[in-house]
Amino acid sequence: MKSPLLFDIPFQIDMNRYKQAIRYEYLDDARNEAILLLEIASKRLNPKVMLIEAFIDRHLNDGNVPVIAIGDIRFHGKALRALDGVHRIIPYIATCGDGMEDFDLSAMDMLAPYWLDELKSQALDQARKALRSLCNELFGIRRALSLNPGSGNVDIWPIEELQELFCLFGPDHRKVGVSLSQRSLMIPNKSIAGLLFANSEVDYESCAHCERANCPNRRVPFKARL
Amino acid sequence: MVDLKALSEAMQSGRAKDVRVLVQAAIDEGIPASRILDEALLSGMDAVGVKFKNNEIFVPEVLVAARAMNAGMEILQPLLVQTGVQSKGTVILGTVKGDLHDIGKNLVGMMMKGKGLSVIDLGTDVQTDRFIEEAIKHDADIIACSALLTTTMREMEHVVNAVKEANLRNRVTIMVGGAPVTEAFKSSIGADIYTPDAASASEAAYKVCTERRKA
Repeated sequence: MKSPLLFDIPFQIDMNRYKQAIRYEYLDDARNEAILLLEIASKRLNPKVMLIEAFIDRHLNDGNVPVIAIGDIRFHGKALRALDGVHRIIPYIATCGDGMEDFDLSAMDMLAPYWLDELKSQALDQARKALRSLCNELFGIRRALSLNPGSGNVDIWPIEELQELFCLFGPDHRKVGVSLSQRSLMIPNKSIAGLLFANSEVDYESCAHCERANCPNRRVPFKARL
Repeated sequence: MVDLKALSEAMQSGRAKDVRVLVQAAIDEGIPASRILDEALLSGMDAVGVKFKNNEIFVPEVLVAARAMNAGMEILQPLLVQTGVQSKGTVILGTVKGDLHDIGKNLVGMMMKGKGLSVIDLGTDVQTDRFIEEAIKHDADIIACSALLTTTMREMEHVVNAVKEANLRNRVTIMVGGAPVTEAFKSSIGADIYTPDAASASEAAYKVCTERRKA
């Protein structure tokens, strides 16, 4: 496998989106603080993207569960059926960056954690957008589908397999600034990781296989069957 | 004369500065702190909860309303303590061991406070024993556990078992919530109440506490 590629993504805060998201107009007594946090975050947040080209060696089955093997690493999950017939995949990690992880909010307004969450979401969105462009520029995949451990219901592709996914990058994965807890929680929290791939035969969206009817981030309606 | 309805509306729309001014004015006029709490702040948060459940408003509106309520409570709290106004119940709240998510948990805490409950928020990555220690220390009615990962929600079962081992099972109601948690999961681990959102959680907690006090 080739070495992973690491990209720093320029971060530009969308002020209107920020103000709308935090209901800035109601914060008559905390507007200065909300802007101060934005200024700090704009200097410290450092979105990054890491990706690597990889090839599936074998498609297997464990009972009814599809398995793919990449070198010594194996992934198991119903979602992997979307990779049937696929050979080339692009494992990736994209993050808002770790620049605000040690920033102490305790002296700030009680809503400051939410303001920061919005700023980190913006940084991740820009990393995600850059990831798509890079996938096209570097690998010629214009309409990349994405599979992510932990996205969708638990049996779709268990979140624990993020550990194996990170192994695909080797020790270089530390350079992206995302660490995995023992319970497979990505830190910083505004980080995503998964496999990009092209498959004209399927139209996979992990969100479609998650039962949370009222999820505010739902992109497509729930589908009971993969 | 301060209009408590206007105070409630200021709170619902998140105008913290106005809430501070109106609460102080109401106190200065001699309106009892408990009346300001019940008729303006708690009733205002009730209305916010209903609108949230009906998708008329969303998380950011709830947050600014909770912040405005907090501004009013900072002024009212010392008076409520002085006059011996009792909390409607006590909830020990936290995100379970191994999990660092707190946005949803904090929202639950704010909405429970909006029901007049005392909320002891233990934060994130809370060790099982800590839930028990704090429940005993505060003579809590409820332990409410949050988890956002399938890998951490199993910790809730440890909390249920620890409550049993501490002989608190008949005294403490265990509530669970978080993205991967379901009614079936709640039943499988022997917890008492699952709620899918913050507004339902606060209503369920309020019901548990008021029924316990009536009994």
